[in-house]
Amino acid sequence: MSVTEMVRQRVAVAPPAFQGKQFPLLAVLVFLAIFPPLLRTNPYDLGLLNNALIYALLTLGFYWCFALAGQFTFAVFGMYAIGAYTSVWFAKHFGGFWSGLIAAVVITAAVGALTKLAFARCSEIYFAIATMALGSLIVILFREWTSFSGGYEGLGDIPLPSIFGYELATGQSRYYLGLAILALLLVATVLFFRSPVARDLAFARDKGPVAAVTGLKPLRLQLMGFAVGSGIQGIAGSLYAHGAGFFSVEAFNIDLSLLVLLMLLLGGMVSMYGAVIGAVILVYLPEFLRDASKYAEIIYALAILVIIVAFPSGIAGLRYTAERLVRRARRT
Amino acid sequence: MLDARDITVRFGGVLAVDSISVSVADGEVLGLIGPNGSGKSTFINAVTGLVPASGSMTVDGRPVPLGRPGAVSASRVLRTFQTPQVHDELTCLENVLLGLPDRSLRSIGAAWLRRRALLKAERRRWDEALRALDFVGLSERAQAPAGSLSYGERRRLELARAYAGRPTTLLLDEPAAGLNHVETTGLVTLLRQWRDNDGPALLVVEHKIDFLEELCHRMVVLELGKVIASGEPAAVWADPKVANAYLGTVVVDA
Repeated sequence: MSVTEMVRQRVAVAPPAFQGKQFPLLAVLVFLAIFPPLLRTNPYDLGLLNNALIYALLTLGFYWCFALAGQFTFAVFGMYAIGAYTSVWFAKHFGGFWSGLIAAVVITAAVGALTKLAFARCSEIYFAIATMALGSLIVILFREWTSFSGGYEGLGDIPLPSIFGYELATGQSRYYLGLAILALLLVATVLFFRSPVARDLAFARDKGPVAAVTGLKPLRLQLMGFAVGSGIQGIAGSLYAHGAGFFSVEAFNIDLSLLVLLMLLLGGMVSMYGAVIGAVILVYLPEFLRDASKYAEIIYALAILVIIVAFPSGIAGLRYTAERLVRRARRT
Repeated sequence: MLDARDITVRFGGVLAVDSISVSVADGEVLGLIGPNGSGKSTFINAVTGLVPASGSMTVDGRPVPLGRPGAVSASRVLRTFQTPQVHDELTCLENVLLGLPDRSLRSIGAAWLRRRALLKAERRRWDEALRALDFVGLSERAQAPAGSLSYGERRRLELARAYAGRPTTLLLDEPAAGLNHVETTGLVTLLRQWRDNDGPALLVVEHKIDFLEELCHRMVVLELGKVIASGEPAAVWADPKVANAYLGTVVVDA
């Protein structure tokens, strides 16, 4: 019996990332997400549901950039705008929604990669500031380039998403399209976790110089993660544009980046589901606070403070917070 | 064979490393000693590209650019750190997997599109990483997060990662710092075993004299960024300049 065989008998054969069953949970969640648009069919509720989906995608993109690639970015609203405008342009000039969606992914991912490359030497805080400037620059570009974007006048006549020639004219059908895309991206994220690149990226992100002398390529790894995140933000932009039918440059401002940050903090960065949980809650919170609209912003701000102080790992990380509290209680 | 010539590092106005030339032959164990602040760690950082330096370096006759960590590790020169640098949230096995030179199918594209080939390659890598863990005696902890290890175990884990990288030259920055007597003896045994089994050339920075005496063929002594003595351990210890650097000049009060 070789040494390896002896060792293998003593330990499981795979790192934990390859163990566990992530897919059944994902399948159950996607199954449950099928029902809401069947129960609430008025246009207002369907609009909210589609909003939640688009924000979930946007936050998932931010999760890739921030939590996985380790790059805090404020350029989310810029990527969202690029996704929306390129998708509409390609859809109008090159055969419909799908060519627009693909163009949106490719171009936002490329812009994301270039962003990481251009600001590669910036420390974290300067990277955040640089991306804030970049996002604003992108939106100013679209605002002034009115022949392309329509500026404040806006863009209309946007082709609806379609599948096999069927136009998705109802909010319901667009919700299922968005859900399918979100599910696909969550599967892609699980596959990423269950692969060697996840640990390589974690090491490159948290111990860059050590990773470099170990033989990894930290810049390339982070750049790939950042590009994927930006591409997902582009998908969100594309779905927004084709779902809205009409939009103007006013739809894109820095508040969007802040909102996405709050969604991820609230949902929790410990899991990809944090992005979805946070997005759903913050899309529906204003609805619940409508009666207290006078105090809505205060409640909002307080909720965020409480979360950041008491539940630093967000809702998806409540388990960790609880474990910590239990440990502390046992010690005293 | 690693050959570093005229390595110079400046921090502002301070000459931390002043044109030091050191070469390590294949299979050789070279000790690098000197009082605190003499530039030992800075020299290692310069050679591995972590601090900007001037000078030149060749590995097996091929020039390696300074200041580029990727180029240094690509020429199979690896290192460990004064405080062990492992990723706490990854398991021991995963930490070792990071160091494997086999980089096939370790990209996001492969994670999505080439699952079958990727799993096959990973199985091969798991076996290799387990062998490295077995070498340092950590195979029992393979699935434990590195954050749960003791200080001495982390050192061994870092060594396992370097072992998995199959270096031709390994630079060890104070490998015995913070280890107790038993752990130090264990480390010496381990390094000797590696040395005598076709292991890499070793450049060891260390304060513990007995640790070096058991391991080294040759020693280089630094003081204030300069080489003040080099040669076989016994000869180096006999050198009055070395005693002077370590103990200071004895001033007799009249």
